[in-house]
Amino acid sequence: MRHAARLLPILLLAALVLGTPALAQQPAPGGVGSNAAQDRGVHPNPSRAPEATEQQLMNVLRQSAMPDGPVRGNVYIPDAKAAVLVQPEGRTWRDFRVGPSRWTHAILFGLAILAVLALALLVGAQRYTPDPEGRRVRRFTACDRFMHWMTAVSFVVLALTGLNVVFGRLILQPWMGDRAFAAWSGWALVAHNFTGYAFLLGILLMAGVWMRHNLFHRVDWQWLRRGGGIVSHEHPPAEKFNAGQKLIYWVSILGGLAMGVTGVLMMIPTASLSVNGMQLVQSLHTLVAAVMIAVIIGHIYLGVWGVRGSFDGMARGDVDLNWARSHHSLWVERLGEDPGALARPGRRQPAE
Amino acid sequence: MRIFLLACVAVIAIAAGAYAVLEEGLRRNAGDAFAVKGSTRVGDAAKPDPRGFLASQHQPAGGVTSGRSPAGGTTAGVQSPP
Repeated sequence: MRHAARLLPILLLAALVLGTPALAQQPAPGGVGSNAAQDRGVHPNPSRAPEATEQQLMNVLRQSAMPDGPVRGNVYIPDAKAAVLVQPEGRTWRDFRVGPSRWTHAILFGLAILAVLALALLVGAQRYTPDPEGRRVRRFTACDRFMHWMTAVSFVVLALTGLNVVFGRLILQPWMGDRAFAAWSGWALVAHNFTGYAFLLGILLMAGVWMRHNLFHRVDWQWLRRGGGIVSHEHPPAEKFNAGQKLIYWVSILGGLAMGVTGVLMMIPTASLSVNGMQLVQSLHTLVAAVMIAVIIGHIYLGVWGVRGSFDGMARGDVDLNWARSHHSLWVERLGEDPGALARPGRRQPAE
Repeated sequence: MRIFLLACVAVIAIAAGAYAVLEEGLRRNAGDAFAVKGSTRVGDAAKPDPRGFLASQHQPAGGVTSGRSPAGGTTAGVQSPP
């Protein structure tokens, strides 16, 4: 009996949906819509004519427990996803967005910020003694710095506008009000969608230009085993990029590509993805974003503050020779064979 | 600093360029997803109205079986969608 009671609304739903006519036939204001036509019993395919009104459907949806299985109907428009009326995975997806997704972001960001604070307060910044002659070595070309900054700037825009989706309703909406939040969210979506192309271009450029410097070698495992000397203030030997930088590089490249592909898929509603597929793509997009933002928080701290002299590489293109010998000894050894890599003494001011 | 500013300009330019080039296409793609045009289930036979509206939007009662409204396709007294 319980089964029969549970089955009844589902059958009613299915009967209605199976007969739902083209959703594309939007009724004109005050004009003849599909509802009016259905009420008169007119339907392009009588065998699929609805057996209940939309009001009955809404009543069932309000009063009944949602069915465990999907309820699908027929539509005459190209987007077959519109035929899905009830998709149980949608509830799982909604629960994920308002629960685990937010918590995953919050926990990862919290851990990243805690790690940064612990390093800053307990360990302090890694300092260096500038070269007495003021000699500097070229670390990045203008092209290197341009693609890095382009990726970085677009990433910040993407992170802020993307986090609006995760935390906006929770944090901004009560503060901004409904109307302002709606306007901001609309613009944030446009900025997010189209800034994404600059980010994707930057990721592809970095993948092409820096990949050969970011392949792992035996020395990188030694660097990792010694924790990069961050706590002990030692300087394990490293190539142009140490193992920590290589890890950030690969998280950025692989994560960035994953974000790009999933982002573009979400912008194309007629892509060959089911409703469930779109939800999975969105979930993957947001989880990868959370990991990337947490990693980049650490990257920004180490690059700007935690390793003194490191920021010069991106700000000016060259670094102090002593800094380079301390942090990237193997790279400087190789550069020793290339006198052109050394900037003229005194051309630049020492970092400290 | 100059390169940083140049990168900022590049990001804005690429975003604006992508908007100019792709916005129309994406909007059309989203529109196509809900368009009658391209429908695979409703053929012309089910659209007796010369403007392409479905028979279900005409006043006459009864199903469409032959591609013409059973009432002769009249729309007298019925306000059709624009």
